[in-house]
Amino acid sequence: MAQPSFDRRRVNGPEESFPPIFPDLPAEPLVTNGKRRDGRALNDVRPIFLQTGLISQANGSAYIETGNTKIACAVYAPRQLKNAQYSDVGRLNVEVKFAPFSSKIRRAHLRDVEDRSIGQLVYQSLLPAVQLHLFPKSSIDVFITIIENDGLESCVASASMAASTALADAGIEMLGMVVSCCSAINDDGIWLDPDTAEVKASRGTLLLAGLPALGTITNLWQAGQITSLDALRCIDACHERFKDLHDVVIDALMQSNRAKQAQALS
Amino acid sequence: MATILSKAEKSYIVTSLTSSPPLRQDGRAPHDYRIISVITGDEVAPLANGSAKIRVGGTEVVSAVRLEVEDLTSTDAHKGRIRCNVTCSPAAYPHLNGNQQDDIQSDLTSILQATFTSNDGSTSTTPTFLHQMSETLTILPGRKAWLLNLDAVVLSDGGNVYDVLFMACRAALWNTRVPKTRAVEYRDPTQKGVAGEKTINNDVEMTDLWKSSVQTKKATKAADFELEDYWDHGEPLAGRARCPIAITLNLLPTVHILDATRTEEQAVPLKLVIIYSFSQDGDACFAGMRMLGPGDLPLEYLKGLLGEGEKYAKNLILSLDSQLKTQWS
Amino acid sequence: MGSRVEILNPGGYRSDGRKQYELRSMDITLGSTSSSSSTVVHDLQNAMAHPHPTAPDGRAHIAHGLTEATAQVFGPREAQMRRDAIHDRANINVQVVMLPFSGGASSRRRGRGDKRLLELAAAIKSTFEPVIQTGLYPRSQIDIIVEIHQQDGGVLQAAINAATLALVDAGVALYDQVVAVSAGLHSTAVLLDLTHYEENDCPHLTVGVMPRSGKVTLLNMESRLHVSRFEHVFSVACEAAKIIKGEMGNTIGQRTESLVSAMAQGEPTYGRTAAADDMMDEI
Repeated sequence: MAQPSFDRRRVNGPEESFPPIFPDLPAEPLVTNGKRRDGRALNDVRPIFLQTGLISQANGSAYIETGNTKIACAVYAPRQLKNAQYSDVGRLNVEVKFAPFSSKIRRAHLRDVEDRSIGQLVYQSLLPAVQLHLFPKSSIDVFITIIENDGLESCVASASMAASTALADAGIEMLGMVVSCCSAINDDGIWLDPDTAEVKASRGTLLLAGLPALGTITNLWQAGQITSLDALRCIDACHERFKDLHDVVIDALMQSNRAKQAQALS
Repeated sequence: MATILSKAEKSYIVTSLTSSPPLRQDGRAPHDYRIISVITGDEVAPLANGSAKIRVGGTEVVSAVRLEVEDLTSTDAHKGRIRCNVTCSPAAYPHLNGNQQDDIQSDLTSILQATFTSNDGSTSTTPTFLHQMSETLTILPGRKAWLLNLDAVVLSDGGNVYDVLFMACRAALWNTRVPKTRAVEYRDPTQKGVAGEKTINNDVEMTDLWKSSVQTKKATKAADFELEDYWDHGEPLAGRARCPIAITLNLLPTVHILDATRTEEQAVPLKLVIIYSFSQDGDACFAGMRMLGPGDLPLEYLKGLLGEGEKYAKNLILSLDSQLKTQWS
Repeated sequence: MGSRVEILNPGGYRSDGRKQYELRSMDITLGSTSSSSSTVVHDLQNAMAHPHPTAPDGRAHIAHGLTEATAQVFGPREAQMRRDAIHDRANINVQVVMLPFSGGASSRRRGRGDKRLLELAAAIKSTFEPVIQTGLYPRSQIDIIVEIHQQDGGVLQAAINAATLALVDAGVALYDQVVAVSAGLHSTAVLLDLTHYEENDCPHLTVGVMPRSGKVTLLNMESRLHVSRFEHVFSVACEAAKIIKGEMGNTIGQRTESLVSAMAQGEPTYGRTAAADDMMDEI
C-alpha cells in the first residue's frame, strides 16, 4: 500500500498545491440590531429557489438554492433489483456527494464519512413518507449532489426538500411532501436556517423534518448541548416554518405541472 | 438491514405490546431494563488508561480509553481532543455482509463522534463537559495535549446497542486516569535571574531548575514535560459526571418501550435515540437526538417523549453511577 | 539497551519465571456464560437470559497467560451467498478481528481488509478444512469468528485452540480436535508457549496437531531455524500439544456433564437460574 489511493480516471488537482491565503478581516458581527448579516431576522429562513426537471435523463429531479447552498437532486425510480433476494417492500437508497468545489477546502473524490451521515439523515427524513410497500423487489435511488455548501445542517434540510420534490416529480407515491428546517441556538436566541459561520458560533443545532400535510414528524436530529427548554423552543420555531416551506414545495410542483401541460398542448 | 422477522412474528410482537397491559416476550414491564452488568478497569483491557465492559441481555460492548501525546499546531484546537471509533465484531451481525457491517460501524462512530466533539467557536458562558474534559487533557497549553482515543467494540448485539454503547463509554471515561505531568523547562544555566519564574502550566508545580540542563536555544519557553508517577496514579477526567448517556425509546402509536431486544427492535416502526448530559445539580441537557425507522409521529407526542426520556435517563445514570463509584472510589 | 532481560537465565528459568518446557496457565470458558465477576446494576425479578436470534451456535474463550482469544461459530447454516455454496460439502469461512486496545506489536488499528488478519484467517481456515467433516453439511456454510482480546505472543495458537473449542461447543462434526502450540529455540534450548518478548528474540514455530492420530494440520514458521534443530523443536511441541489437549478435554467433559445434569433437572440450559450459574462457575 505504498501508493495512496490515487484515482487515475479523473483529472486530479496538481500534486502540490496550497490554499490561497486571505487577509484576516475583522469578523463581522453575526447579528446587528436583530438582523443577521444578510439582512434577515433571526427566525427567517433564507429565500428558497426550487425547480423541478433540470436533469433530463432522470425520472425526476429538483434543484434547490437557499442562499449560498446549492443542491441538485436526481431520482431514478422505480428500478428493478436484480440479483437480490425477493423482498416485498422496495428499498430506498440515498446517496450524497459533495462536489470537489463545494467547500472552502477541496474535497477529494472519495466517499467519506460525512457523505454517509448526511445521506442517512436525508434517508430518515424521506423514509416515512415514501410508500415503499407499493414497490416490491425494486429500488428507489436518490442521488444528491451538493454543489455549494453553506452550513451542513441547512444542506440536509434543503436536500430533504429537494429529494421529496424530485420523488414527486418522478411520480413516486408518497404520503405527503417532506419539508425540513434547521435551527441553531446561541445566547442571543434561536436562529433559523443558519449558515456555516452561524453554526460555528452556536451552542447546538437541531433539525426537524416532517409531513405538514399529515402533521407528523419524520426526523429529529440534534447535536451540541441544548437545555430541554431550548430544545422545545427550537422544535417549535422550526415547526412554525413548516407551512411556508410546504407552500414553496407545492408551488414548485404546480409550476412544473403547468409547464408540462403547456408543453403537451403545444 | 436484512429482516430476520416474518410479518406474522412482527404483528404478534406489536399486538402484545399494544394490548393492555402491555406484554413483552420476557415478561418485563414496558419501561424495565434487562439486567445490566458492569465491569471496569484492568480486568477488561489492562493496556488501556480506562476501560469498561457493559452487558445488557445479549448486548455486550467493551469500551476503552487510550491516551497519546499529541503536538498541537496552531491550526488545531488548543486543547486535548477526543477521537471516537466504534468497531463491530462480525459476530455481532452474523447475518449481514461486510459492507453492511461497515455501515453500521460508521453510523455508530458518527453518533459517538458528534456527541464527543466540542464546538470550539461557541461563545456560550456555561462550559460543556467537553470543555472540562479537554482542560484535564492539556499538558502544555498550546503545545502538547493528550489525544483521547475512545474505542468501543460491539461484541454482540441483542438489541438496544445505542444505550449500551453510551453506557460503556461513560464507564470507560469514568474509569480513566490521566497521568499527572509536570512541565520541564530547559534553560540556559547562566541566566540566574529567571530561576524562580513560574512555569506556564499552572496546575502542576514547578520543578527545580535543572542544573545540568543542556544549553538549548535562547527561547525561554522551550518546554517539555515529564510524568510525575506511574500510570495508575493519574487524576480522573474533569466533567466525567456530565458525560452523556443515551436512551432509546422504541415507539408504537400508544406506548413506548425501553431496552428493546433484537426482535422487538425489528418489529417496532420507529426508534428515538436521545442523548442526555446531566449537570452536577441534576439539570438535564440534550447532547444529541436521532430518529431511526420508517414510522412518523405527531409533534405533541414527540415533545412529551423528550420529557419522559429525561426521567429514564436520570434513573439509569443514578444506578450506573452508584455501581461505578463502588467499583473504583 | 543496557537492561536486557535474559531469555533463559543460567538457573534454567525464563523471564516470566517459567521453566523451559513449562506452559503458561490456561483458562478456558465454553459457551456463553456471563463472567462471574460482573456486578448487577439494575435487577429484575424474573429476568431470563433469552438467547437472541443472532446468538452464536458455539462459543469459547481461551487465555494462554496474557494472550486471550474468543472464538464464535455460526452454523452450519444456509450459505448467505448462493455462489459460496459448494454442492458436496460445507464452506468454511474464517474472520479474525483484533480489538483496538489488545496491544501487541502494533497498536494501530487493523481494519477488515488488513493483510495480517487475512493471513491469520487463511492459516486457521486451512487448519480446519481437513478436520471438519464438511461432507456432512453440503451446500452450507460454517462461520468461525475469532476475536483477539489481548496479545502477548502465541496469537495463532490461542486462535486455533479457541476455534477448536467453539466448534466442539457448536456440535460440528470433527475428525479430531486440533491443538496448537508454539515453540521456539534459544541457542540450543527449546522453549514452549512463547510470550511476545520471547517471540521477538527466538526463532519460533506454531504447530497444529491432531493428538489422537498424531497428524499435523498446521506448521507455521516465519523465522530462520537450523535444519538439524528443527526436528527436536517440532517433537517437543507435539508432546506439549498432548498436555493442552488433556486440559481442553477436561473442560469439554465438565461442560457436557453440566449440560446433561441441567437437562435432567428439566432446566433450559440457557436459563440463568442460581443452580445453573453455580455449575458454570465450577468450570
